[in-house]
Amino acid sequence: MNDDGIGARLFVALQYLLPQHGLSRLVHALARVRVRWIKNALIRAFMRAFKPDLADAVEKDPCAYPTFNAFFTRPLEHGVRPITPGSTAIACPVDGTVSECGNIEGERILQAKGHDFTLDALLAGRESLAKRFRHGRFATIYLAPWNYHRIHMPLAGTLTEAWYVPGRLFSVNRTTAAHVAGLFARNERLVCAFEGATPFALVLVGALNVGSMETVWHGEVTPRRPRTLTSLPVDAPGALAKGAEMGRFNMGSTVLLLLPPGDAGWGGSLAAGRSVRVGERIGSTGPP
Amino acid sequence: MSTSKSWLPWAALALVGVLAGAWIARTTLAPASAPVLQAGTWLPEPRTVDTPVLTDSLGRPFTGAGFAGHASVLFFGFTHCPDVCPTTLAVLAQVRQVSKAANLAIYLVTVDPERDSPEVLRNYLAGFDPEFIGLTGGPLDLKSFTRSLGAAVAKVDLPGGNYSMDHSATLFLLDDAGRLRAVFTPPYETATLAADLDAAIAAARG
Repeated sequence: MNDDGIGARLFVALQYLLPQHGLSRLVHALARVRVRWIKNALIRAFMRAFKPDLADAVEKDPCAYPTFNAFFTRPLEHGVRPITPGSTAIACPVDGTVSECGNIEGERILQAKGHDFTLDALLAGRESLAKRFRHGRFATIYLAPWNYHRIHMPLAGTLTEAWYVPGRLFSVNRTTAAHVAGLFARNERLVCAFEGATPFALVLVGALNVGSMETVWHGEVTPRRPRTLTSLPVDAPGALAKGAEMGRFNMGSTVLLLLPPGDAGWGGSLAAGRSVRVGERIGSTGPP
Repeated sequence: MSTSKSWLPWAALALVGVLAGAWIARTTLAPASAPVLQAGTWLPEPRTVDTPVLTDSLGRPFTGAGFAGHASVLFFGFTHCPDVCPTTLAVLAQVRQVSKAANLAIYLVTVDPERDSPEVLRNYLAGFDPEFIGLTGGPLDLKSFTRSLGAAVAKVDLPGGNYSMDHSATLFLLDDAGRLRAVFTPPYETATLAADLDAAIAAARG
């Protein structure tokens, strides 16, 4: 779809009118149906529409998955996503496409083509978090429906804070990102802040039809009621190794990785439009 | 008016009769197939188990279909476990020698996927019985699987960045259709456990 055409604008306008949460809830329920013919029909339709590559998946037969959601969040074979070694190398947390990346200019994070949003809005006004990343760096990575949907640790770290931030559920594809101002700061999201060799944060942005995100600490976090800003517990031991699975999207979405100001940064090759995979080196926390 | 409602008491009586019949049938018929276990608990109703996509110790995909066609004993543990796991696996290896039940598979489901890769599990299990099957997977998959069976697992951080896993030592018996039929709790003794498993498997196979 052309990013600026009338079709694109209609597609975006329609999303304002949709009962977004209701639709996502319906999809949530449908994705968990075990009735074989319904589940297989959904999977086959998805295979035709998006042609996901199952070569790296543990289970290569799409109809062998017990539910559509199990298929969608399929695990990959051991060793197909090697994690970049070295304590300073930052490993890519997801399979997807870089939407934008660069420096956080004070408060401002670039979304797409002239739109930007503030760190404060993204982090729902949590000043304690925002101050760590002001003048830092960000990378926004979009997970397409056909991508692998598990999220892995970019660095070794311990979870120190986790917030559920309520919001709407716009689609997060490029067309929508170019037209809805402050998209990532408007959608439902999960903010996870970590301490390690350097502080970092992963923001899991929900999208239309996602309706559900999971972390290894909290289990399924959305859909939840009431839809209010909620601090999630971090009392369970939260330390995870680099490359360990930290969560998953139960439908396509976006991840933002935030780094503090200082030595940490992206390598020169990380740029908008580049496709990335879990574990590959996307930056460094400083001189080794 | 009075004639139009006169069927009501009869309908109520019929309903009570049907419910009473169903209750009598359940209480008299169900125990007939329940085995007498010395150290285990037979579930009155078989329970379906939600199995996510896992990986077995040979690196092959494993779904719920993998539990079909044989009786299965599931144990949740991890290869770095200092006490409960090795002793339980040693007993299970002996049970497999003693048991008269045909087609009994023993599974170790890891609660520590970070360290227990398929290879690590295979090498570890070979020390007890090369026929034992290890299962691993993503942490969220293993979490949902342990939850669906009702096994408890918690990660415990140790000083020096190391960690251990607290886990229940319960054994779960699945029937030939992969449904949960009985659970066993420690202490485990080879002869008792083998006899219980044989009785439970025979009952499950009708």
